Parts: sequence; C-alpha cells; structure tokens
Amino acid sequence: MIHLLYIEFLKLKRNVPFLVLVALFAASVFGVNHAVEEISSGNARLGQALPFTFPDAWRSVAYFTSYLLVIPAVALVMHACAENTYRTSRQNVIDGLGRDQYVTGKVLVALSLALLATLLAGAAALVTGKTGVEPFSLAGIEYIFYFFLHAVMFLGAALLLALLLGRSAITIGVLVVYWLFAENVLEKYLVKLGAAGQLLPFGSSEHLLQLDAYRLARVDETLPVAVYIAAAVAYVVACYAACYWRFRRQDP
Amino acid sequence: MNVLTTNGITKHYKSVTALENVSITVPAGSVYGILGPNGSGKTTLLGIVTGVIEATAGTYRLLDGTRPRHETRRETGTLLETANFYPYLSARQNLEVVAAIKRRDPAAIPRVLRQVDLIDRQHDKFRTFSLGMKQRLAIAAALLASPRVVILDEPTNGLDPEGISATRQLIRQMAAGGATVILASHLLDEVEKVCTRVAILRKGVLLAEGEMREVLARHDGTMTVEAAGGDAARLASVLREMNGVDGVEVTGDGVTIACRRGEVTAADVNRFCIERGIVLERLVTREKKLESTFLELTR
Repeated sequence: MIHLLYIEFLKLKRNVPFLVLVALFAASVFGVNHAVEEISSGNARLGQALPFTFPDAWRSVAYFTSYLLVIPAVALVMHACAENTYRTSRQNVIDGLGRDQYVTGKVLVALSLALLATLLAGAAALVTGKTGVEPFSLAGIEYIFYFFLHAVMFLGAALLLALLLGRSAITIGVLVVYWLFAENVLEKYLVKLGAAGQLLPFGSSEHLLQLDAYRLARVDETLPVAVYIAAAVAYVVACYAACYWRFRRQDP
Repeated sequence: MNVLTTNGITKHYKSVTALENVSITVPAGSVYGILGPNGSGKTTLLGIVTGVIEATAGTYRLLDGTRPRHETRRETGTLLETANFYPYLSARQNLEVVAAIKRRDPAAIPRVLRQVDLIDRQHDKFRTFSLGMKQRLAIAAALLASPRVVILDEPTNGLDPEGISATRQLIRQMAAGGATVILASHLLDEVEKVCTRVAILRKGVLLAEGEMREVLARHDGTMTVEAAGGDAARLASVLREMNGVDGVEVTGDGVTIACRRGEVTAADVNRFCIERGIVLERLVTREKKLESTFLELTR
C-alpha cells in the first residue's frame, strides 16, 4: 500500500495543475468558511446568523466545505484521465504493476485527498469555532466524520467516472451535471415515493451534513442517521468495487 | 529452458480475429523475431504476454510461470509500440517511476541513460524530446531492470540511421549479456541481422516458426548459384543440360543458375562442369533472403 502511494507521489510531485488545485482547495476551505461566517455575522443583527460557534461550527464548516470537494475531484479526474491520455496506465501495467495495484494507487490518492479535505475542514472548524463566544466543544464533531464519508463517496464517484469515460472534460462535465442538477431532479421525483428518495448516491451523505436552515422544504421527513450512513457506505463500497471491475475488464 | 511459451493464443475483437491459435516457444538466450505485415497481430500477441490485452482463449507462460504475472513483468523490459511517459516529468523522474514499479534501485538510472546517450538530457522534460529521444528513453526504461527478457515492438521506429544502428548494437549487447530478446518488426532487414529464431504471422495466423535457417530452408524450394569460367554463353548452354537445373541466365562474365534445393549443390555444379572440360573460376551459392521467404509466405 505504502509503495503504491509512493509511486503515485512520484507521478504527482511535479504535476503542477494537480498541486495548484490542491493548494486552491486548501485556501478555499479557510477562505470560503471565513467569508460565509463574515456574511452570516453581518446577518446576525437580522436574526439570520448561521452557527459558526462551537458546537455547531463542526457541522456548518463540514456543510460548506462539502461544496468545495469538486476542486480535489477535478484534480483527481485530471490525474486519472491523464494516465489514459498519455497511455501511462498501460505502461505501468507493462512495467509490472498489477491491474488491481494500479487501481489501488488511484484509490489511495482519492482516500488521501478525502483525508486531507477532512483535516482541513476540521482545522477550519477549529479556527472559526475559536473566534466565537462559546467555549471549545467536541460535541458535533461527528459531522467531520460524516464529511469524510461524503468526501470518500464524492471522490470515489469522480474516480469511477474518470475510469469509465477516460477524458477529463467529459468526466468533469458529467460529474458536475449529475451532482448539481440530475440528482436533485431525480430526488425531487423519487421523494414522492417516500423518504427513500433521499438515498441517492451523493444525497445519502449530503443529508448527513445538511443544515436545518437549508433542508429542502419538499422533504417532509428525514430518515435515521444510521440509514444515511449505511446507504453512503454501501455506495462507497459499490463505487470503489466498480473501479476495480472496470480496470480489470478494459485493456489499459 | 524457454522464457516464453504461448499455447493456442486467440484474440477476437468483436467480429475481427486478431490472433488465431498462436503457439510459439522462445528459448532462453535467443534473439526472437516476430515478423508480419501491419495488422498481422504482432503487437496483439506481445500485448497479451505483457498483460495489457486479455486473450480470448489460450494460455501463456512468461519466465518460470510460478509467480503472479505482474511480478514476472517486473523482470522484463518492454517497449510496446510507442514510448509512454509522463510529459511533465523529466527523463530521470520518469525512470524513477519505472524503477519504483519494478522495485529497482534508482541508482541504475544514470547507467541506462548513458547507454542510450540521454545522460545530458536527463533533467529535461519528456515533452521536449524528439521522437527518436522518446524511443531511446523507452529503451532505457526497458533496460532498467537488467531484464532477463527484453520485448521490443518496432524499437527503431522514429530513429535516424545512427539510432537504428545503435539500437541493433544494443540488442546484440543484451543478447551477449544473456538476455532473451523478443523483437517484433516489419523491417525484415532488421530481423535478419539480429535474430536467431523467427515467427511469421499473417492476419493473426502463425505461418512459420523456428530457427532462422530452418524457416528459410523449409519454405524455400529454390536456390541460386552464380558461376563463371571461360565463355559465359558456352557455360550457360552446358549447364542447361544438367538435371535439377530450372534455368540458366547469362549475367556479366558468368551465369546465374536457378535450381531445386536438395537436388543440386555447388559441388555438383563444379563436378558437372569439370567433366565437360570447363574449369570454374567462381562458384557462389546465394542463400535465399528472409525478405523473399516472408513475401512468399504472406502473399
């Protein structure tokens, strides 16, 4: 595992677009949360403040940071698709990497990015929470775990699409369209069938993070947290398993 | 001992048959040429044994065959079609990736870069390289593991005459060092100059396989003898009477005799002429070239 991660590190250490996107993401996590906090505190006088003090800071930061996950997802897609474009995936296999090992390398990059995003979100929650009037509290830190689950799912889906489609622009387009539009439309129709409509691939973990203030009016009932977690874990397993299945079947 | 054995390898792409029941044996230490026109299945066959293409049917064994296939691939050096590297990495950084995959000491990188004459460009990005330099870097990557088996698919593509000559020299050096070289090419001259064994493919079907001389002899029904001595016209008319001679043509000061292999030898020609009072000043047997055998088989 460590060796596979080292091979990916050798590939990525001079990949300027990848490094720029990761740096942009890191800056955005702090910048966007700070900006939302500032705007929110401006609205506080109107009684519309979003909770950026402990213990709610964990949840708020996790929620807003989840929208920024598209940045590391784009970095991951560009990296995975470049291997296809330059045919280095094929060369890696020729040189002695097993097909499963190749996918494991990419999965480890996805998990590393998810872990980095989680650490950044946790750090941002600490910083924003500290500026509030309430004392430090770990209550609600489970939202950082939910964020990790969502990040693993989001990046796993991005990786799967990259392996399926093979071209960065198409993959990013499909990912964004599905994430921002298609799934919302789908959810709208499925909700008529009951709360199970909330258990779509991205929706399952997004519902874990959603702030009450942003809950969709059309969702009459919410499911127990364990159901969202179980659905999200099932999607994560299915998504990563599909990555292996895809690369075993196709000639790199 | 054989380093590669394929048994009934077949590959279908939907309705197209790329390979049909191909069985070859590559002995250790040989320089094995795989010949065939474009689309004959050379690259598909090598793609299967290097793990990037799944065979529809058949089996193969690379090296000892006891370990997982990806592990045996680490002990082979392979250049399949084109050089595939990360364009934003330098030559050296690309070889570091290869060394990590092959679990080799990166300290060997300067040695292989020197071998392919790229040591001065080791810090330049791959994207700045010419086609020939890219090909040379791929050969360097193939050499990195001090491989027991080197698989080269059209290795001289894009190389200038000097590069082609250097590559041939490198292939000979690898063979002399004990490595087995598998060389796929449609350049017959290249294969004839360096290979000891050969397989000829056409439209996915193996037409011939074996030692180069054997293949040439097996598929060659005729032989050419050049002779000169005295009056060429008289020599020609005498030789036309000889059994086993299909034709005699006057060429310059001598004659060229087309005869059936196995029925007539140079000694027979010499004896036949002496018995008729002609002393030959020159007598040369012309072996058939690989090119003519290849064209005959693949036509």
